[in-house]
Parts: sequence; C-alpha cells; structure tokens
Amino acid sequence: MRLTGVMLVLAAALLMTASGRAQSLSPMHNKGMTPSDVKGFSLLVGNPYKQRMTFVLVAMDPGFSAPVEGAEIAPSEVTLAPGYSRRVIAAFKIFPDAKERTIAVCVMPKKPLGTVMPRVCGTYTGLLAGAGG
Amino acid sequence: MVRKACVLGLGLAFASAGSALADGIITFEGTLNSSCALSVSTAGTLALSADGTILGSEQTGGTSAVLTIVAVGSNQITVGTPTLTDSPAGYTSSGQRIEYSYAGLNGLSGVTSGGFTSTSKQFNATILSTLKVDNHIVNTTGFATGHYATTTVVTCG
Repeated sequence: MRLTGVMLVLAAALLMTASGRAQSLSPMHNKGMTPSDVKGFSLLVGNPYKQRMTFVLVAMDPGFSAPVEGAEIAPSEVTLAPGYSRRVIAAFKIFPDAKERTIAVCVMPKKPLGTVMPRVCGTYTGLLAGAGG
Repeated sequence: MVRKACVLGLGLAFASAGSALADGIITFEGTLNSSCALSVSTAGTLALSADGTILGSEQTGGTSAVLTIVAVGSNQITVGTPTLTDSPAGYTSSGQRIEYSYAGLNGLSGVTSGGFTSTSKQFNATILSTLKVDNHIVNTTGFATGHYATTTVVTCG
C-alpha cells in the first residue's frame, strides 16, 4: 500500500517533469492585478518536436481571431532545441476607460507543417488596482 | 566526485526518511499549471483523385496529417475552416470547395467531424491524444499543373 503510494507519487513527478520539457504554452490562463496601466505575464513556451523549431508568438483577441493593438510579446519569435522551453513576457496596456483587459497569446510554428498549422492559444487578464468592481 | 555526492545524497535521503517515518507523515507537493502542446507527427500531403476532380490527403498517394495533443487542465481543440494557401497561376478556383475532416485516434476515439466539412468545429482535449486531419479541394473543372497547398488551423485554447 505504502509502496503503491510512493510509485504513484514518482509517476506524478515524472509526468510533471515530462510536461515541463514538452509543453508548448503554459499556463494557458492567468489573471492578475496591476498598480499601473500595464500588465505583464511570464509564459513558458516549449518545443515538443524532435527537431529544432522556430515559433512565432502573437497577441490576439480572446477569440483568437485577430491580432490586437497595445500588446507586446518579448521575444516574439523563438528558436528552440527539441524538448526545450524558455520564458517569454507578454505585456499589454489596459485602456483608461476599462477596469480590466483580456488578451490571448498564440504560439505557432513559423511555417505550416504540411496541410496543418497547429496553434496553442492562452488567455490572460489584467485588472486595474483600485478600479473597483 | 560524483560517487561521493551520490553517497552523501543517499545518506541524506535515509536520514530524512528515518525522521519522517518517526513522525509518521510524509508529504509530497507539486503544482501543475494548465498547459497544451500540439505537435504534428505526420505532415499531410495532397494527391489527385482518379477522375481528376479532387486533390486531397485522403486520396491514394496522399497522406493524412496526424497531430499529438498533450493537454493539462480544461482545454478545447478548434479545427478551423481550411484555406488555399498556394496554387499555380493557371488554376481556376471559382467553383472549388475546400473541406477538412478529422477523426480522433488514441484518447479521442469517437470524436469525429462526421465527414468532410468547411465549418469550424470544437471538442474537448484529453490529457494525451492523437488526431487525424484530412484536407481536400473539390473542383469539377479540374486542376492545372503546379504546386497546391491547403492549411487548416488547429487550435488548442
């Protein structure tokens, strides 16, 4: 019973390690307050492929349909070795007439792969401190 | 040097386990963030049908695209309407129909687009799954010689 529990914990630890080296985007959703009018999030972008790949990152509307203004991702293009990941920063302005703003960040290969363009998109919300509501 | 470090590590592990056993409580903690990885394991290719009116990955000589999905948390997969992204100058696109189909494999059995369609569709991602995607162009006036490309955007979000 005790051994089974330990094995389960080890399996969970292995799963966490594996997902840490093979994820495309994490976290997929986040929300946080900012004392200024700009909110930033640190995101982890990973390369799940077996070869070196270049990915582009685009700030989009929450429906993933069009790029948005007043948002930047640095770097906006990353080249990663197989199985490796790195952090990027997504920062966006919260407009004066709003208490909050949600944007999406989409990660995709620089070129389509055959007939498919795989894309991973997360959504991130910034809240203005002291704006009430 | 490495062996010494290992021995020291094991010693610490036993000491720590002994202490924990004396207390009777061992706690392991970890935090999993929501994440999604989409990777194309097989890139799709198009081939012409015997009657020359369909250029598709489901045709003999074509290849279906295969995607691997690894998702933690609540994520949805959206398969978008395909677009023609390259065609030769002599090709007449009026009257063409561009469609896709998908079928879930491991971890997504039963998930299907229900045949070829041009309408965007969604389904819930599972922790580890495989998806097969086909694209085709139907054009009763046929195809000029040259390079063609269709792209279907598959989004995990």
